[in-house]
Amino acid sequence: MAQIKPSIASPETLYPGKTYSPYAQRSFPSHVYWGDSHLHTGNSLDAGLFGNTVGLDDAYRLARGGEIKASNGLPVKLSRPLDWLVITDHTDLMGIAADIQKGAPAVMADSKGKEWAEAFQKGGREAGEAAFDLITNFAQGTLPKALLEAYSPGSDVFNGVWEDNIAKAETYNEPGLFTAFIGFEWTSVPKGFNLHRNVILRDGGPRARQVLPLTTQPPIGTTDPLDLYKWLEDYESNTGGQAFAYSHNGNLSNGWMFPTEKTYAGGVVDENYVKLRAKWEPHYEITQIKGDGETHPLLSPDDEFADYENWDVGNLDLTELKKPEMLKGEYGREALKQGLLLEKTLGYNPYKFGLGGATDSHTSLATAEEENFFGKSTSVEPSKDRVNHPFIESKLGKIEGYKLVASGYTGIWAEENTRGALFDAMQRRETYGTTGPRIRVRFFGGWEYTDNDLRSRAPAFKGYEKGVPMGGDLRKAEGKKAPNFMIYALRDPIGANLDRIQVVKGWLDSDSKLHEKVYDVVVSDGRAIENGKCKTPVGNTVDLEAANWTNTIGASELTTVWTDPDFDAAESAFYYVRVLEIPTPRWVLYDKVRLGAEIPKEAELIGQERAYTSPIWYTP
Amino acid sequence: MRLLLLLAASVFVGLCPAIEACQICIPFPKKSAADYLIEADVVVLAREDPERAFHFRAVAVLKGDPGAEKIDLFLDSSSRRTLAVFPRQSVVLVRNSDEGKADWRRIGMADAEFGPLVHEMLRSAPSWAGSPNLRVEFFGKLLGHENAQINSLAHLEIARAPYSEIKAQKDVLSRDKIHVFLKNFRYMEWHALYILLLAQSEDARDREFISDSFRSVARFGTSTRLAAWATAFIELEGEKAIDYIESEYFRKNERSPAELREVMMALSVHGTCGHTYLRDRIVASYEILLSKFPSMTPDVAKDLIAWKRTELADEVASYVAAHQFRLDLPTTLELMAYGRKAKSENRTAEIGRE
Repeated sequence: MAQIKPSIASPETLYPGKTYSPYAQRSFPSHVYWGDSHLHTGNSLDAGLFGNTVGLDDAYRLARGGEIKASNGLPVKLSRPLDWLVITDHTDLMGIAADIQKGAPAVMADSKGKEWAEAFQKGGREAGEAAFDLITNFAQGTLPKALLEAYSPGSDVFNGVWEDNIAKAETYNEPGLFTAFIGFEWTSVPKGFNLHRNVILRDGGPRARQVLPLTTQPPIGTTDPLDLYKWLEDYESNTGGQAFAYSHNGNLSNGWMFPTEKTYAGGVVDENYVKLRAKWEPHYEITQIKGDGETHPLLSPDDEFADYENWDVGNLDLTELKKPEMLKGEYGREALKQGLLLEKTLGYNPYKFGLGGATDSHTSLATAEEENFFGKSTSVEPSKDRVNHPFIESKLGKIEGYKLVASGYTGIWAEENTRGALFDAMQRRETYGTTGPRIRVRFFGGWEYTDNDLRSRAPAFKGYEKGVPMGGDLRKAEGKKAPNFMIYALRDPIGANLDRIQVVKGWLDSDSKLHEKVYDVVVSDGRAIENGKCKTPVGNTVDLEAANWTNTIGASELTTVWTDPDFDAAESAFYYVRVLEIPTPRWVLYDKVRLGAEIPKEAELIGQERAYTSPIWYTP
Repeated sequence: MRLLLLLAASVFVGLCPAIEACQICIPFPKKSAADYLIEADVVVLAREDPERAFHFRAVAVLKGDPGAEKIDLFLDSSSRRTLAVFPRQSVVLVRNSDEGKADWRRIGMADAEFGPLVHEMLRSAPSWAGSPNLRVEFFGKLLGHENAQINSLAHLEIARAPYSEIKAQKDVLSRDKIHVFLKNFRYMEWHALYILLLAQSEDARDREFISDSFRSVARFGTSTRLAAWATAFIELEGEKAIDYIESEYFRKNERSPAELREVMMALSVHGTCGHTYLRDRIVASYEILLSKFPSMTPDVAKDLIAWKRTELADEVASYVAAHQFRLDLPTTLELMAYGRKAKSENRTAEIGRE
């Protein structure tokens, strides 16, 4: 008996029966498909201005396993192909920078645009002057009006750029082999507060061509997420298609990403808001280049692994410094907790999202591995000094170059590699994020899992049969004392061993107080767990001279059936899994060894990469 | 001095996005750590409060009285880690109640080099008030410092110094280093300073580089870094450079006001404290400028007043007559004062000749 529909497309076909081959006739998701849900090409204004010359074709080629050249001329290839990709270029002035470099007709029609384009064609010093001038004009808001208009929604040029995006996705989308989603980034950043959302369409060109992506610049664009929800609503009703949005980098929103009372746009968090957000944002990008977004040590003081790749200096452009009270509205775990409370008070949980990771690279290169990290933007593609120059700096603070995070990817459990199957899996939250490694994680919640279920070597059969996978809702089970969870993690085949599996629980008590607790549920190397904690560190094999490590500690796989020892059937709760690898070198150590970079002493050289599954919720 | 500040302003224009994307915000700071130290009521060294994670606690008071109130400033993870790695370091915090709200602000990490410098700045600052050149001298020695905080502070202090002081710093950075920085967008906030320093080089290759760059900028028609390129070009080519500027900018119709202001700034700098021997030539050039672009009159008049030059009194007077209702009051008064003074001096000169 299955408690969740693994596919919203085929609920009736679950478990038609078992055959000799354990792989035949499965109707539940058997494969994890890896991809990057957030990648920019030179069509994004900022990426193009900073010299990204890698176009859509090469972005797809690299994701599919091909070798290409980065904008700085270095050859680049992924360790393994990805299964899917969402190119999410910024919609405001989409294509303008790339077109200036190419000398597209719309650019040549403007006298200043023509000057820039011709200078780029000439190369050398004049190209340098043009680039400098272009950046300055952009930053000062003095780009020619005609160019601004040409690259705004409604113009033939903007339509053409969007069409090109669609056409390239159609070209590289091969059902069963590689999925190229059509998407974009709606880059709302009022006063530097990061409210960005990516938008992903389930559909192909015919439906995508019926709309233009939403921008943020008035009078056409808007920075209010409620307007984005309206855009999504209109898209679905007008085209018959499906789409949703997902946010990222709450850590750079200064508390506005996950509001609980007021929204930045001046609205209130009321029933309408929570209902719409719950509907249109079923996914969250919890880890990426601009910081890990799971939690913050100040929010989770008892979580010894919370102090991980945090960016907490201020908002996106560092025009406002962080204050402790802002953190509550910024991190995924806290949002999951606040969602329980909002559900109680307003009837809907706006923060009932699945988890994923993405790069947010602006290089067209979906590289998230530490040893293969091409940086956030072309300006920080591999070079000896990229660690030493602040990546963001303002009069109030800075984020050093070494703080960039080589992260992340999303694993999607789906039945096949198609737009429909992957989109549906994301929508039902059967996803997890990693900081780069392709750790395989299964997570099921139910009431009657046994160790025998786990020992079957095919836990998914019992997993779906007796419970729900990550992203699901636990059914109420009369007479059962506490839910249990079947968890299985297998290390990345070419990566590091695993340190431990943890279950993170958040709950709302009868006094409407929110709580969280992190349980170590299985650890490597026979270490002891007492009261849900393993106090013995896994150790460290990292060779700082060679930028290397050995899999002589940790475990290649970890499994367990864990029962919540603190369960109260009257309290709503969520549970998600965090899997930690053994310590491995951060990308800066590879820069030190390979490029001779001088790494500041305060830069972290070692990290413990991880995976975060989507939660399973319990509602009384 | 005011014109020199204008040049400084052109170097440090705040570049923040009008159209906001992900990663376009280039820092062009206006105030230096030294400014904050001088203005502050309270300066403390602080570390993480052991009783309040991610918050500061003062460990030493360098100026003023911080009082008993806790420091309301978040300690970010990076700084926290740095403090953990370096137990002897602290963060320099300042509080200035003149800013309306007495907020705390961090101005740097008191490491082994910046820490002592903070003490030194606090000691030296009183003497800078009456002698700005002492301040430039102080920071000139720090330009190119290996400590990034100190280097950055020195850059900001020197880049806004009078051109004559910048010239005096010609040997602090090697030409090789300057060329590396000039090719790198990540140092763009300091490019204007590097151009001015490079102009002091005696290497023929640098002379050629500046000449080619300025001609390229002129051809391309950008105002970006134009003042610096033009200043450098005049530094090297003298009168020949002014001839070129005149023909390329002042005698052509298509130059933008921004470009004109930038090249005029370069002329002004040289007329004031660069190649002052070129002042006659510059004033002659201004005459051509005003004949083509009378809207530049208020800018030009400021130099003429400062240099006590009366040659263009008629041009200024006719501009005031034609535009007085469109000019703001201070500008009108300034121009009228110049007109009166010029008339009086010209009259005196005539009498003298008689």
